[in-house]
Amino acid sequence: MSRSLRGFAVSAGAFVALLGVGAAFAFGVASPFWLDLVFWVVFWAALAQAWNIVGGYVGQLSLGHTAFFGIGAYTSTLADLHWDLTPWLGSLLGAALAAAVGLVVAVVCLRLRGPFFALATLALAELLLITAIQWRDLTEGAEGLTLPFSPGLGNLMFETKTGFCLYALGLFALVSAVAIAIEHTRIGLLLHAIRNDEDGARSVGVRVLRWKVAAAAVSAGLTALCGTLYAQYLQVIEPSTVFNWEISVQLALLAIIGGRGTWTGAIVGSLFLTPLAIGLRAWLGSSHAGLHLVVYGPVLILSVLFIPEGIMPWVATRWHTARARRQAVTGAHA
Amino acid sequence: MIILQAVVSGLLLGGVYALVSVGLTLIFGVLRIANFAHGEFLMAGMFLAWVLHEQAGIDPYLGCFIVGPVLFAAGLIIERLLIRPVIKASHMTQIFVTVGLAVFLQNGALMIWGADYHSVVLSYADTVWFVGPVVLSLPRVVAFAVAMALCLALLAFLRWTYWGKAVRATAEDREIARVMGIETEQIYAFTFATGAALAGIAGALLLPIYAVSPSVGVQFVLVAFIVAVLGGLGSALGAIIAGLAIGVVEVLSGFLIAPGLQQAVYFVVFLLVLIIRPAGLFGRRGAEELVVT
Amino acid sequence: MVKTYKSIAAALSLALLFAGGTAAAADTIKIGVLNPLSGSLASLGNDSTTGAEVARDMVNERGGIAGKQVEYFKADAPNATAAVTEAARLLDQEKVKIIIGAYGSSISLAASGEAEKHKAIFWEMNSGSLKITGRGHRYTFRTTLTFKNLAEGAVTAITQIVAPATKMKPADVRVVMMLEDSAYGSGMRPLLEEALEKAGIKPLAIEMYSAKSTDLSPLVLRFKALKPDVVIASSYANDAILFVHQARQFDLNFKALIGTGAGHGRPGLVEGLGKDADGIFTTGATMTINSGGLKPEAKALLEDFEKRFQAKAGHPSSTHGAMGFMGAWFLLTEVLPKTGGDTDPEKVRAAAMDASIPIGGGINGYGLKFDAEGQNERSFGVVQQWQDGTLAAVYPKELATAAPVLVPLPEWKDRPKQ
Repeated sequence: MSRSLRGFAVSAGAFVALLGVGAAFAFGVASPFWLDLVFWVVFWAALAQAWNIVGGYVGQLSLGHTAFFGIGAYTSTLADLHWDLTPWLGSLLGAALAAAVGLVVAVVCLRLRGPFFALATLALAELLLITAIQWRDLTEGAEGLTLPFSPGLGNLMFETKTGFCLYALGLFALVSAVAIAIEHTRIGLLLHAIRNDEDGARSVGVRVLRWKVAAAAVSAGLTALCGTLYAQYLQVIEPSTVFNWEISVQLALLAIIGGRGTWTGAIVGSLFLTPLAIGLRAWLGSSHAGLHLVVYGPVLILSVLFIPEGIMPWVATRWHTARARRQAVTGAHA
Repeated sequence: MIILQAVVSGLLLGGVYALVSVGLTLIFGVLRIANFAHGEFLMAGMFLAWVLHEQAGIDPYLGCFIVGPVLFAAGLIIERLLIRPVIKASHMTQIFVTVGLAVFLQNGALMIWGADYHSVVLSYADTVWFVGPVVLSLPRVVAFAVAMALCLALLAFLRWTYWGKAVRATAEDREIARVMGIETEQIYAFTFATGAALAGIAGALLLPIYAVSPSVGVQFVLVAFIVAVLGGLGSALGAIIAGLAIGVVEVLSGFLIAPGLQQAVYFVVFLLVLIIRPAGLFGRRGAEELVVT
Repeated sequence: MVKTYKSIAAALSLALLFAGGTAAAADTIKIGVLNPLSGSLASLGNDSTTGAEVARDMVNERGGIAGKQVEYFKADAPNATAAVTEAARLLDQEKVKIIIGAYGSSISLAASGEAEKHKAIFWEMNSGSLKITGRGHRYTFRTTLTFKNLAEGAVTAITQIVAPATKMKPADVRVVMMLEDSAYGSGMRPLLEEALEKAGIKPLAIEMYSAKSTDLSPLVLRFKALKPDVVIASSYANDAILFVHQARQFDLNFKALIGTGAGHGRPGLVEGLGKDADGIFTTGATMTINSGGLKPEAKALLEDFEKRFQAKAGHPSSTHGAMGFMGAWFLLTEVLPKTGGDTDPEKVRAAAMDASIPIGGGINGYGLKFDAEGQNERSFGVVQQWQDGTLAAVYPKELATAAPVLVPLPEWKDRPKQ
């Protein structure tokens, strides 16, 4: 993480390049099946990135992010069904609501460290799941909601998957922009300090709680936007799907394996694991139920054991070491 | 009078919760690891007991004598391979190692036995005793009795035996324990294995009451954490009392409010505890700070 | 850029993975079969796919359709998200134009949505949620009954069997409902309320509970305080068993227990309850109807199906296995022959709308006639009852294999111990 202009230029360049590649795939690929894969890769990257803001940069392990995801999905869908509100606004509404919830959760729970915080977020998500199921007047209960398929830009719904891929890319761009902004400004330095030595940071006057809470709220809001994306794509949501702790685990996992605290980590994580999951299920699912998930477990364990900081930082370290070695050998400035 | 019944039913349920949680809380106290795979140990014990019954006709209560040692051995292996390497690692790493283990175990069971629920029909499973206005079902009483016996034995073990004291010492301050000559590595292994064994036995005890399936573990792991936190992470006595309490709260609220909300109540209790007094009933103040000494 | 290399590598490896899957023989009739084969819905999802496979085998043995063999492409969709991906894969990679399935409402909703976007046929054989055929899709059809049929069947059991047998007026029957809180129970709730209202019955309690509970005593105790005559239950397998166990333990007595399919319709109920299962009613599709009402070929087919299913799956068919068979059978023997084996969606649609089989013509007594929304009007739920460890059809009389017994149920103290 660097605050130099050069570092920022590299990041910005990579960011634009990635978006370009993404758009190329979205427009270039014709087959709905492959487009669907592209969609999910970008979708999960965006989600992991949103989690990264509080999980990576601030270092608070939330295992309840599905709560915000579900809030986003339900808010925009209900607003659409009951008030005819366009998802453009509905998603903002969901984000605001999620951010508010995230704020409250943060204020109340952030003095808890490590597993305590994780458990608190888990419990919250479960509570929301039960609420969504029981509060039938609001959510129609476990039966879920369906959105009618009416494509149109105003509806954030698209005839072809290309449109959805672009929607996902747009969302990913937004979340990544936030992440890059954090990484390359003073905010990133502050959060880094908080993450590494909270008491030390406090002692030099950093308003720790304020920053943590802000990060939590932002992360929550962005996650909610992804929830709306999901609802728009699938057009069917139910409590057990959008308030699902497996989503919480998955998005944290992608960020961790890819490298939390780096904005590229989410992409790498998703690029590596999403096709793996989909491919394994397509390949093995019809013959051996559950095999793909059995493989998932060890993959997770091994990556956490051997590359705990994540792929991108690991790659970056190797790169810098190699470069330093080259410099030492040649004596030249690279 | 039905309230009395609800309280009694709650206590019987809580006894099993206590057994599941006491292992979890010990693991946390000694190794400082939140074992998200704990529910899967219960599931494994339950499946093992089921297989023993189906293949060899062994009664689940007798099966406990096999399940315990098998899960203990498995716990030793898992601790050595997966947990020991991450004892000093970050919380996130530790959590995800156990989460990965949980995913692996749950889906491994799914692959082997399928998603179906399997139950055992035992001739005595429907026997009930009447004590005044209260109905006691035999399997639940036995589960409660065995669970409580094991918990009390554990408490006695911790208080009066050398190993038990070593465990407590390591939980309190591992560096000093090491300096005093305690082989902390052995204590870690022993504690983890014991936790696994107790969870497995709880599973075997549940088999006459409840059907087994790969997803059974997920249901219990959250309650186990709630009980452990309520009782104070690291305190075995706390877990026992909290287990009973949560059992009663769950059944009572299901009866008084609505069956669909009985889980919601203990989540709310959990959040309140975390907010107001994270150390729980018997935990040490500031334990949530988790500074590893 | 690392990312580009990675994505190329990923794409290449996936392409290699899939290369194997599409080497199909030329000139077969390709159909996709989508069901949850892993995850929590797997056991009934697998049954449905197996039932469909039996239909395919039987049809192929008779020479196929218009001389061509039928080929299935299986997909595992454990949840809605996977359903979209797998449906897209079937339609795009395997190039099927018809997908049959699926057990699990949200899976069906998601997959049929995807199929409709591709303008491909989604042939629903299992899920009962009204929304599946209620969304104005052109290419979605359902061969089996809806939750509404199940609800009406349950209330019919009260008005036509329980009330007369206990000499009560329906309005006087004390009814309580227990509904598991996922999509199934949740979906049944308004339909049961509606059906009860039509019959003039006001339920004393409607309790939603979690099918995963280890202890239903709060529920049992609440019911006990209400002294119900009839308990209507929408449960899965495990909770269905647990409730009866605990009802016995707490001495909760009732004149009848009526399930709405799912857990109450599966052989596992007898496994878990033994003799205590006798007398329990359930509604749903069934294969065990009075085959006196069937034509001889249908009877023979029924026996053949049961044998083959048992051989393939290692256990007897559940209701959903039967529904999977029925749905596939209708498609393969009634609709596709009309198009000469052509799976073009417009042609299949026309043939489907044209199809007409009278009630009693299908193996389980169903007929076939799709209404404007693609719902088979001639599907219905039969009221069944567990008698001596097997399910007998008890209503309507023309399809009944036995008369109802044990109405009212004896009190627990008078019932023999296991």
